[in-house]
Amino acid sequence: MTVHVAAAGPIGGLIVCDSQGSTPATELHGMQKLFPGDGYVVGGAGAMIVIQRLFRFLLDEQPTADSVLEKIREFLRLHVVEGMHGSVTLLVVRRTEVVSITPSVFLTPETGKGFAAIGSGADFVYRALGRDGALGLQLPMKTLAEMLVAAEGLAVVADESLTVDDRFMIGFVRNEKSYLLADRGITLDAAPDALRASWSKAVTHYEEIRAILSATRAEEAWAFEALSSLRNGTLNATHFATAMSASAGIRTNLNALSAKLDDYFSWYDQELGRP
Amino acid sequence: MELVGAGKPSTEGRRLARHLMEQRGDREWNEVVVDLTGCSAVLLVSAFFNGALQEVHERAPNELEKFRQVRWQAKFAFQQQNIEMWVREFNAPAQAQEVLV
Repeated sequence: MTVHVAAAGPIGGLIVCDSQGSTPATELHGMQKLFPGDGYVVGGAGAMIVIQRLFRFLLDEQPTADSVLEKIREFLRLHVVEGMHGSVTLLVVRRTEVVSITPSVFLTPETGKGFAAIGSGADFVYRALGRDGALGLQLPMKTLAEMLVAAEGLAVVADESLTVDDRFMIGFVRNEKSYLLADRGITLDAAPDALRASWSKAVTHYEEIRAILSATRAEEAWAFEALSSLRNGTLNATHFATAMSASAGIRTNLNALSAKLDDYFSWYDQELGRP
Repeated sequence: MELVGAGKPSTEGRRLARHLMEQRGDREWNEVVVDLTGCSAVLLVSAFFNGALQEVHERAPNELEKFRQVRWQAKFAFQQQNIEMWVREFNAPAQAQEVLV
């Protein structure tokens, strides 16, 4: 069981997911549910045995962003019995789009999406989005940093589900390249050798990025608490000042997050020997 | 010593400021160093520092300008940058009063 939250736009895209696997009797944590491919990221929810096999298949076959959807179709056709096709739901982020693959319902992928959530936690995500929408709250997602704040915030909402944990893995796509980042408690199973070799260093970048995201959520909560005096008509300048102070903090955080992501991408490219 | 608890940021900021006022003794404010590197990121937000500054303003308004010289140590650079901004821009009493809803 899981939650995956994906977003994409003109500057690229990302998927945030948790690390929990569940059986009727136990919880498992630290599972890799994202695969970083050549210009794309694949996320899987459902039967872990199928997802892990898919990731190894993609690692061996090395499809590109253009061919990955066909390769996934081939994998399901050649390696998974038909009765199990519906046991997984997949998301692919490539270039500027999110692609949903739901073999239990559709024979073809749904391409061209800007946002999607899958897994047992997806209901929580869509309910939170619906509630925000009803209140008129927008979710800016123009930059990669804004996308990350939005997707991670929604994944945190899904952590209320018993089948979702708060150890996150994040897969990015930018400039036709993919990047993976995760909590140090997540074991890397299927990934290029160069990334596996650098993984212990990669996870050290996660802590500060997660701290920025947590602080940003806390600032939002504080500002919304101040502005909720609107509801009984007592909103005043003090409340606005509180919200403005929080807003300034969020601006600093977003700038810091963008810079930190740029640093991480540069380090990652260097480690993998990419231009 | 653990001085900061797990309450609301504004409450914890006020409590820390009270403690600092009571315990600083003969030291000048610019000699006071507060190590926040072990604090959760969700605590070290605007409300925490505005709460601390508001507490000083209410208890000892003449001390406020000197209190801005306290040296705060945070774990990450973005926190340090925010702290400097909030401390510099705090403008009592319009900011950081307890929010009643």
